[in-house]
Amino acid sequence: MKSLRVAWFLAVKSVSRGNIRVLLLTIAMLILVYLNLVFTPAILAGAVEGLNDKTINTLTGHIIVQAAGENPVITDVDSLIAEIESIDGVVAACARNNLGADVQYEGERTTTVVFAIDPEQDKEVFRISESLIEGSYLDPEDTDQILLGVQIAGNDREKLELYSSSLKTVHVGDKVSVRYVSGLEREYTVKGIFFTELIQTDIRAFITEKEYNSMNPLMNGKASSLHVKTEEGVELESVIAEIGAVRDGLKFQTWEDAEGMLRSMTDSFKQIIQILRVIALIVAAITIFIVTYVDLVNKRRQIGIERAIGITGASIVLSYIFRAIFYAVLGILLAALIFVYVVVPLEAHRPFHFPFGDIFLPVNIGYLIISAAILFVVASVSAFAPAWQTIRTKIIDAIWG
Amino acid sequence: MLNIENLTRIFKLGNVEVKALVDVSLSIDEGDITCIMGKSGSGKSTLLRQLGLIDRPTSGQIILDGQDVTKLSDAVRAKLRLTYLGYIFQEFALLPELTAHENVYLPGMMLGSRGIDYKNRAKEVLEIVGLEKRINHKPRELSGGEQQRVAIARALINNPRILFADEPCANLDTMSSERVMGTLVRLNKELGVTIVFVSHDPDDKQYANKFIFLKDGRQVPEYI
Repeated sequence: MKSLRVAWFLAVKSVSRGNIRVLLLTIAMLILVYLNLVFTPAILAGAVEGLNDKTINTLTGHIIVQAAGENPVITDVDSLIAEIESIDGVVAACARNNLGADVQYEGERTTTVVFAIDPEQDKEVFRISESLIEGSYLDPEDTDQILLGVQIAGNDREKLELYSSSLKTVHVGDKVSVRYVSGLEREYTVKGIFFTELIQTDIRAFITEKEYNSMNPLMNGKASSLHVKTEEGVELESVIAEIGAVRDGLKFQTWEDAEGMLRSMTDSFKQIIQILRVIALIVAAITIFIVTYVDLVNKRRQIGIERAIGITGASIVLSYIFRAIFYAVLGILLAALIFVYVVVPLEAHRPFHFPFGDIFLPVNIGYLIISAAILFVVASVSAFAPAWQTIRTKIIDAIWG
Repeated sequence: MLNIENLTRIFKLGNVEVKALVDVSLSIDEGDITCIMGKSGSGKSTLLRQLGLIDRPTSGQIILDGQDVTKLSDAVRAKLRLTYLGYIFQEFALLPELTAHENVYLPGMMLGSRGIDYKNRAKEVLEIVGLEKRINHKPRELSGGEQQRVAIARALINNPRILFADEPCANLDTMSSERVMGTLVRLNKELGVTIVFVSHDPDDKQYANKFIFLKDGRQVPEYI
């Protein structure tokens, strides 16, 4: 108790009356260390989050439902969708049919998959309608209109990743010729061009279900896949189990199963995030250790005097730990406030642009707290180790060298 | 009260051994003012550090009130320094971030008395050394003589039985030196504190009633 009281006294006096420049420099250093600890991993976490969000909202939905048997289509789609939408946690479901096709325009040809959709139903699950860069979205009654991804249209954007294999100069109002794998050939007017910035989505084309049914009357009420959107945080496996209970002969994929190459990319990002976090922590530990060590070396004589006049080693070590805790709490608190109220809004105003879109820094309170706790422990240990080492030297060596 | 027998202190500087003290034996009685004299490098400060339990001898014994304190643990020696001994350093050795009052009552806090007690006691001893009006000043705001008197007050906070002073006037002008030495003598006369101080100034002989002369780490009959 006495040691605690003296340690607290020494720490308070040292912080309140010590060199203000050293105090500000130490806190500034801790702010930078903490920002470094949270900022870079946050960018990559934002990238992963952005990529996942785009995959769910433009490519897969949360759950993909397909027929499991030899017949590759799901039948009686309307009643199945109604039953799926009645499951707790499901927001909406939509049906899609797809056909392989060659699209041609003014001597340019590209191969794609054309999806037949009910535009109103599809909008409940996907956000492609929000990514139009030209024209407008499909209406359910459209029959001679097509919606093209920008990587097919080209759209005179020579910097597009797949521009060389696109139709290059297609704009809204242009007429493109589509030859389906069934041999059927149709001419469509381009109604809209979308650019989601996810290549896997932007290489797709869309027509209405009405147009599709006019070409394939036997496919009425059938679909090659259903896409289910759920509420955030819903356990997908339980939703899948409930859909499975509704009808036999279905197979399921979550959006993560369907991510394919994107999944390996996000997995790599996650590994990089972990590596960066460990490196940032090591840098933080070393930096704090050096600052504390230099401070202690400079106060070696003072510590010797304190011991000579009867102050216990425990009091001296504790006083340095209290100081480190004060610096850490203040530095971390300021850094967290700067991150949440300055860095994140600033980045949201001028976001970093990745090939799959703008990246927004996620504010992960859990990670911020864990990082703060780790840095707090590191600061305490970094103060303890050199302080302990210093009080173990002989008083005479500490005072007179 | 304090006896040392065959005290030797050898420092190792790389491969070289420096014999700072060789076979020194002496006795200090209660109420004495003992002056350890010698030229620079004679071992005066080294001897005082052994007596003040700040350093440990290479060989020999230090007997304090009949108890051999030579080989006591660091913690016990620290407790003895806190409760039984007072030490005044040549260079004042005050903590720069604390006021005179705080510098003085800091060792008092370690004894566990209630706050008001050690704070009042610190004011008392600062009054004894004539600094009652400078208690809220930090060391850098005090003259060298005043800083040394704060150091004396700090050494007095826990009512020590023996006060050790390592060339307390080495960094002071004549007037400040006389005031500091006068303070030590007054403490001895009025409070009965045993004083042991180091000096190389023959004029300081006037303040002492017992002398120890050192030359090249050895006790000699008289300092020349």
